[in-house]
Amino acid sequence: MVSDQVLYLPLSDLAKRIETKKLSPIELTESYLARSEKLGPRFGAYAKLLPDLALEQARKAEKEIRSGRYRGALHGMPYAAKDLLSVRGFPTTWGAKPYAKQSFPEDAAVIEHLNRAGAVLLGKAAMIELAGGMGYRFASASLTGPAKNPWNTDYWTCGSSSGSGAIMAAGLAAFTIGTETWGSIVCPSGFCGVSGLRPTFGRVSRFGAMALSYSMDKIGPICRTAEDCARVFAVIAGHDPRDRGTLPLDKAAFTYSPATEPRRGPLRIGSLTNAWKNVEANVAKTIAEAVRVLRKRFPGIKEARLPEGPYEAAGNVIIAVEGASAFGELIRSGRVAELDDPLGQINGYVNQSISGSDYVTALRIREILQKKMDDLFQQFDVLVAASLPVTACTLDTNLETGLDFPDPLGGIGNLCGLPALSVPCGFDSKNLPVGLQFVARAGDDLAAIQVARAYQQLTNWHLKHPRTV
Amino acid sequence: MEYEARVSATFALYGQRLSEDQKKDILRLQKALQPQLEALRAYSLANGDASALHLKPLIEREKPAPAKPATPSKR
Repeated sequence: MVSDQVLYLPLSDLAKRIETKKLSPIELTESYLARSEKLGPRFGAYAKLLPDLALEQARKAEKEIRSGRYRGALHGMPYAAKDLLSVRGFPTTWGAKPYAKQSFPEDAAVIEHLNRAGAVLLGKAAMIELAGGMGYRFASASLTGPAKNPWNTDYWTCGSSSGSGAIMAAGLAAFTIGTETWGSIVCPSGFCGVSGLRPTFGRVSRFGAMALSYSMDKIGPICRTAEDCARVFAVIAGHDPRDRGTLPLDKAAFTYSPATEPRRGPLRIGSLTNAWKNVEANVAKTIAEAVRVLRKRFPGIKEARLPEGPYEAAGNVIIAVEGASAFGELIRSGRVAELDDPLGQINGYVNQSISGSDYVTALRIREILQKKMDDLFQQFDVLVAASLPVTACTLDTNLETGLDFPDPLGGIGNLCGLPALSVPCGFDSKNLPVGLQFVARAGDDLAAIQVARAYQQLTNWHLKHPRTV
Repeated sequence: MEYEARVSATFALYGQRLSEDQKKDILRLQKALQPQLEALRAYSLANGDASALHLKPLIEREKPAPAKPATPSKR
């Protein structure tokens, strides 16, 4: 078995060992599976482990690598995918009881890409039911119960990519795939002290993924480091005619190699002063220190301000209406009552009642906001702020009241389809992780990756592991 | 009040399947939604400010699937 220390290595380091045949994909897969079987249930991390499939893929990868056919950084690399991505021959539950026995005849596009890269699927990561599309009041809003934070199991991982966050923090896979409509990659990454990339809208095909909000859903990696996120993103990005939301070929594709990162002028960084209304003192102090460290590499950091307006309201209305349509049959049939969460059982009725006129107004406001953000990105390449104004909340928190705060950066970032990368930057007094996020212009995911990577070259927060594991 | 009209419409459609507690919750949620809708409506928009959800005409179609062999109709 591979040591726990190796299982916590960044994907980039594991890839070097696999490429040079110092690490066996089979042994690595067996080790992650054994650890996942032992610790996964403690954290509510997985919806389902797929050991037979994983070992079959690992054996194939090992055979190819031994015969000199190395495919790249993800070859033989074990990962978990959020349980809203279809995998042929296995259940895809969307984390929700009404879909507990559901399966699809095809792999999701992201799974296809990862199969081609030779990655090894360990299992389906737990998630909040319907990715929170009907709303939820409690962390337990999932077919598999609450995901528990490996840093302290009395606390939540955040959602909706809850299992993906737990898996990375607990060292149960080399990388995971999550999704974000609003906050579902950035928040679990922040709460769990791992690195997560929400790509530009339209760069990763959603074919075979559960739809919640057709104009806001995005798929992205949750990993140990920003560089790892870039490597996974390079594999899963690309145009797909089966997802009409994907960008054209030249705008969707992403290539990455740290050795050949394009040279560009000094990146202009704006430190946001109005990303959050109220930031917990512990978090504010940690973020201020992170920005101070960042100044060593980027001395020209200036203060920046987001435009103000009803942008969160616009985002809420768009998600509510698109979700009410996506799950219209579930709502009309009354099967929405089978959802676990009391808010999820009724919120669809509220969302259905929003008028078409209000929905289109929200879309028109989005168009104006995109231009305002484009103006802001004339001055800055990357905006930096706390991933969240708080650290993880307890499992029994009423999320409607206990985790309800204005989120203009999340609203604006997701409404405009902007890329964001959250990385760990310290801990609060309860030893819970604090996250720092980098947001870039649509299409310039690389800028966010470059700044996050530079930050991780200056710090070692991304190398810390929970003691409870 | 507008939110009460939305609540009435919801109850007219789905009231029979909702408990009293759920009805109270829906009333609360609709009330909380109202200021958001009003904020959107108050935002200054000109007639020419278009929507950010555009139709993309399906010009470049994928290759059509091969035609199925004709099956004789049953009479």
